[in-house]
Amino acid sequence: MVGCAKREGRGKRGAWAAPAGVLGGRPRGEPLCLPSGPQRPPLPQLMRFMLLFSRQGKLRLQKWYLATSDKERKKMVRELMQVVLARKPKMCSFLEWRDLKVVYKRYASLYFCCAIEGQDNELITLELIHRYVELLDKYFGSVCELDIIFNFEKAYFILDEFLMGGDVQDTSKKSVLKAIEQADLLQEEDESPRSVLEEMGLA
Amino acid sequence: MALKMVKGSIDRMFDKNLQDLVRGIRNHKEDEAKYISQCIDEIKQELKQDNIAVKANAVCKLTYLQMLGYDISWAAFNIIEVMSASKFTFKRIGYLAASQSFHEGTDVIMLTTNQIRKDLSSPSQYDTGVALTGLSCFVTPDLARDLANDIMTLMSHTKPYIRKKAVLIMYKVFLKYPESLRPAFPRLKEKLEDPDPGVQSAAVNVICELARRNPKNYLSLAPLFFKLMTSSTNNWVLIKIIKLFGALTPLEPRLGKKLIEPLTNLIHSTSAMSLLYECVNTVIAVLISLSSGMPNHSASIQLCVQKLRILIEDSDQNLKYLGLLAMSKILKTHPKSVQSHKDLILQCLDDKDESIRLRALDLLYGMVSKKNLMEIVKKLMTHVDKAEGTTYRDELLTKIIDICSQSNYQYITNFEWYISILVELTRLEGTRHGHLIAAQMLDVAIRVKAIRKFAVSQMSALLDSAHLLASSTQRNGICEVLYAAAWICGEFSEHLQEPHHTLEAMLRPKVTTLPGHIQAVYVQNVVKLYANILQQKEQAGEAEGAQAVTQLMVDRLPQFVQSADLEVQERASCILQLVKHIQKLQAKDVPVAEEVSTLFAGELNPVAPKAQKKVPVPEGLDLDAWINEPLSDSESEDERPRAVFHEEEQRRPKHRPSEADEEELARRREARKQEQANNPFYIKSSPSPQKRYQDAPGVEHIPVVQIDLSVPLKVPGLPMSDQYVKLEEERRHRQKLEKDKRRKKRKEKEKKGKRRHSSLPTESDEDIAPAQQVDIVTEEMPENALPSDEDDKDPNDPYRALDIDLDKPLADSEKLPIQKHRNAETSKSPEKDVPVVEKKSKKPKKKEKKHKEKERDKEKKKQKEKKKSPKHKKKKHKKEKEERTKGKKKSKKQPLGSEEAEAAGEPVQNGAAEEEPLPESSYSLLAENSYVKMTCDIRGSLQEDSQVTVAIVLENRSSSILKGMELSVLDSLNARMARPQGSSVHDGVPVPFQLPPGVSNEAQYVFTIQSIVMAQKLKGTLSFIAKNDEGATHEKLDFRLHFSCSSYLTTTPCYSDAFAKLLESGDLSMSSVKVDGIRMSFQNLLAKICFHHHFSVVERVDSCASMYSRSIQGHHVCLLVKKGENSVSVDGKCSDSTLLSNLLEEMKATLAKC
Repeated sequence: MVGCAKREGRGKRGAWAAPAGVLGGRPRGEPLCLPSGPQRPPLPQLMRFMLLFSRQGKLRLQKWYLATSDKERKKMVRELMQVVLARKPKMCSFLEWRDLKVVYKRYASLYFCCAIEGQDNELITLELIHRYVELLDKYFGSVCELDIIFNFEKAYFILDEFLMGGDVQDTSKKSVLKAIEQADLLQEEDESPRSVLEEMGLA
Repeated sequence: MALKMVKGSIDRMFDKNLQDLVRGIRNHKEDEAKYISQCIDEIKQELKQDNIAVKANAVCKLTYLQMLGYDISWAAFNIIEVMSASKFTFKRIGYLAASQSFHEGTDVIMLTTNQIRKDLSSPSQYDTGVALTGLSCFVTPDLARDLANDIMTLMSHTKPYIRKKAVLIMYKVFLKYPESLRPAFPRLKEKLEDPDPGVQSAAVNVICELARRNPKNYLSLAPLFFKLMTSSTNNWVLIKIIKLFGALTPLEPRLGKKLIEPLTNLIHSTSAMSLLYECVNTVIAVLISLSSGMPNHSASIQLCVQKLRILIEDSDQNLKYLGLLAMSKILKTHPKSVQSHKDLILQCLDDKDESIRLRALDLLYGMVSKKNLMEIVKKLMTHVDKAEGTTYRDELLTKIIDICSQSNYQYITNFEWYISILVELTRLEGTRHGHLIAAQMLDVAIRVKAIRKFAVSQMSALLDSAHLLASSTQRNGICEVLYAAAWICGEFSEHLQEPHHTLEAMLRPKVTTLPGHIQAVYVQNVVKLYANILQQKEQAGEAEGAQAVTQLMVDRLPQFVQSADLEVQERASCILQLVKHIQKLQAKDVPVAEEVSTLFAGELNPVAPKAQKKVPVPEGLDLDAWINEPLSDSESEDERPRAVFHEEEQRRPKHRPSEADEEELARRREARKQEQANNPFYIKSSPSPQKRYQDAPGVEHIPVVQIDLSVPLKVPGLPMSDQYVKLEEERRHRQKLEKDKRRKKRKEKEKKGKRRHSSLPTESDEDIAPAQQVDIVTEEMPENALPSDEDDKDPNDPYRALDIDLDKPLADSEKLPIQKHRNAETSKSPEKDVPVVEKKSKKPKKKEKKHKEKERDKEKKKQKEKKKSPKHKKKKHKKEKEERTKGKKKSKKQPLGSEEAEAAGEPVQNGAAEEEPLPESSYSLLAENSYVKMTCDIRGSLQEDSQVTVAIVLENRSSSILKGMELSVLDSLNARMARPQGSSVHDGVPVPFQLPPGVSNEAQYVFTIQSIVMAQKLKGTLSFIAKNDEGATHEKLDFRLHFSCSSYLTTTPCYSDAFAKLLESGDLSMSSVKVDGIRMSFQNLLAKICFHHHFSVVERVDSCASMYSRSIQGHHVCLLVKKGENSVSVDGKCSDSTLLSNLLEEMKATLAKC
């Protein structure tokens, strides 16, 4: 599924990857433990925002589907992170926060956190988070937090192909990955004709 | 040149890329902020370079920094630059940055309109996709209005990938620009039957979201959705539809009946928990809306409750949580079916997960009855003891109080028990809810007369107990209860057993550590108590005892007089004087007790919180009328100081407590009583009739408990509520036995008489008689108070704007504005049903477009209309007539067309400018007649010197097909049209498309300009063949292409330092203009200059701004715009003086229109 283009990308990243010690405790390759369950049902949803943050409270990704000012965003992120990080592992994945319902799930050291509106279906949102993690996993090949840190724009692109305006735009993993792959290929075409020499203007 | 490139590339090699930045940040943990500010400086340098790859890299890094919380709004312009890059790699990064950082307040966002439009019509579906995705994040009302039509066109794109995205983004467009809903809805509805499942589900999503907000407008779609629901196997679509039905059923009960069956089938069959949960929720919603008339009503509820029980019993915490959540919905309407699962709910209270416990608590609230209240509260009390976190404990506490006090203490049979629960709760340390407990104590003591004696005894114990005082200094949450205790003991002091003891407790020095407002209550109630003791002593003839009490008061009150709290100090000093006076009287053996106690005669009754608001204004009372006419200004100026001084003098003596006003006070009190008796609005103490218990005796006659038990009623010290539980059980048991006995007797009688099946002896709520004759004094309301139900909808609800009737036929005024060209590819799309665009000739400036529905839809509508009332039909006919007359008008207007075209040839930069502060589009009218309308936009590009691109949008407004279009332009010496190779100057250039009726499309032509310092006008003609059923005619339309000097400028951002350098260099010539009579805000003014003249703001300080732009031939143009009160002055500097003066003239023309 994952094209050679991406493999290359991974290889490059591998070259500059810092030693594990610098990056904190988790060994680099540890995947975000994805159980390969049966085929899940597809998912609808209107979401307010989605956050990814680490156990240390570092934001890794944020996507806002309702225009919010920077100040308000920061405040909400800070508050919500506090609430979610304070929860114990055995607690359920839902919480009522402000006028929203928050659905979160922890994969390895990363928290995936979505805010939905009162009437929305929590279970399907949970599915949706899982589906996104699966997509990341497929794309990066057993994804880990570092993949998302260093290729955060890719993580965004995948998310954008999967959700739009807070709504699921494609329920099929295949077609999302296909779209991403083709867009990446387009990008490669843009880049590939230029050799290093060409880039330096020496060709 | 080459050298420069090499240099640029080598520089680039040393630039950080995103990965370097991330790594750098991780390596600089200790001085992150410093490192990042350094990076931002580098990024600023990179953004100044011309290389788009460098810029894109910089923007990508900025996006990362934005996520870390750094402000990148300053780079908005650069983001737009990267968005407009031709390469997808960069465009993608640009749009990502925009979607992450742009919001409605971003002022440059309006500059993106044309870029987005261009990307939307790009031949590459990924360009379009990336633009749609970005737009979905930062769409503003302006963007929505300008682009609605483009997006609507994309809904019929050949690629499902685009269709899907276009459908989804329509929802955002509707929210921002509700006017687009009606014109776009027919096409959206079509998409429900799209062959591609992705597009179909997107359409379901959007319509369901719309319908959930304003269900009544979507009732007509119910059959369609019903079909979809029964046929679809896609759980995801199902969930949306089921949710939609949940919203529709309250409006159409028949729908609910139809739904129950398929829903229960789904509940039985599905294995997906999310779907099951949704079905259960909807069934509940449906059953709630159907009050009666459902035969298998209870069966469905039973099914739901069963399924929910399975969820709650599941080991998955999430399911447990949701099960409880849904259960609480059922509880509201079918409490009985939930109550049977009390065991399960109580089990959940022991769950490790706090949120589950809280859900269970919510449920318990609705599950209590007279029978089980004590048991449930007992269980909760044990949890209070066990609870770890204070938040959960506080939650428990409030829940206990909520449960007990709900619906006017309906479930409490024994108030002594409740008081003792409250007293037990005071032992909680560090709770924030002391005031809540206090409020309950006060409420119960005031409203339940029978309990006062018991309450007073408990409260005096509380006052006496040290633990509240001890903890008061650190955490003053719980000491609030002392407020209630002091008040109750004072107000109902006649019930006190040992008033003297309590008095001493209240006068302890430790009391002064309490918060001021509590001390104030202490002081006030000490007097009440004192008055009571005084009376007792005097009646008993213990003059010495009375004097001793007075002495105690005189000794102890000074500690309050010294209080820092004003209220306490004032009250204490007042009372101290009073007591001293009493002391004097006592020394003379004058009996004072009677008079002192009249100070507090009369009873206080609870008043409903809304009572004051509900007092009707008596007739003839004008609350707005002046009581005293305000003094005129001239008078007040000299007199005011004197008046104030005068008043002060008068007021003085009042402040001092007069020693002789004892009698006066009593007299006033008497007078007040009298007055109150006559005042119809004063609330008297008779309880409202419906709440009065059958045979409520007077307070004095109520024995606190009438039961003959061996257990002493007055539990010494602090009572344990458990004892009451036991007591209560025994009491109930006895009651039951008695009843059974009676019943048996009756039965025997019945047996002797007729044989009737007797009901089983069940113990229902009603069987339990309260232990005390409870006289609940309800809160009082003024007579003839009006019932109010302010149930206003929130006016800020963003979805209210979308409350639009979608079944009405589209009116002319609702057409979507179109100010753009249509993508050539889409107009050629295989679907033949491209919407017919009609142009309204009356308002050429509004540039609206009518979207005719498909023939099929029309037929449907007609059928529908037939069913509707004849009135509606008439309307429709009328409308058609109107349309016909309009058509006539149009034909009359035909000869005028050429004149209009003439007029339009004049330098009108933007037709919409007069009406709206912010222009909609940069396309301006070129020429029009009854066949075709031409609008154009002239863009210069920095890449190609001396070339401008003229984009001409041709819109077919006739019913004929326009083909063979040719554009011929007469070149001038200065400006030449770029023609295909081999064609001569006099040949026309073909327009590369045909126009079916109502369609518009854009053609682009390149012109080469030699000198750009002057404006240019070129004459041209568009010739075409108009073909319709009757034949073909050859037509032509003259136009004048106006190249203003502004059109040679390209928006180029500039930094203030570079700007300053430019100004300092001194090789710019200067000129200025001033325009008067400008009322527009400075912000809008700048926006106008930016938009029409392609400038960018360098810096803005208050009402002064510097702006910059660059011509296609590299002239720098700097402006200083200053706004005075009603005028604007523009000082310009430019490397070419002719260009500058021409530009300023154009600008003057624009500003004059503001």
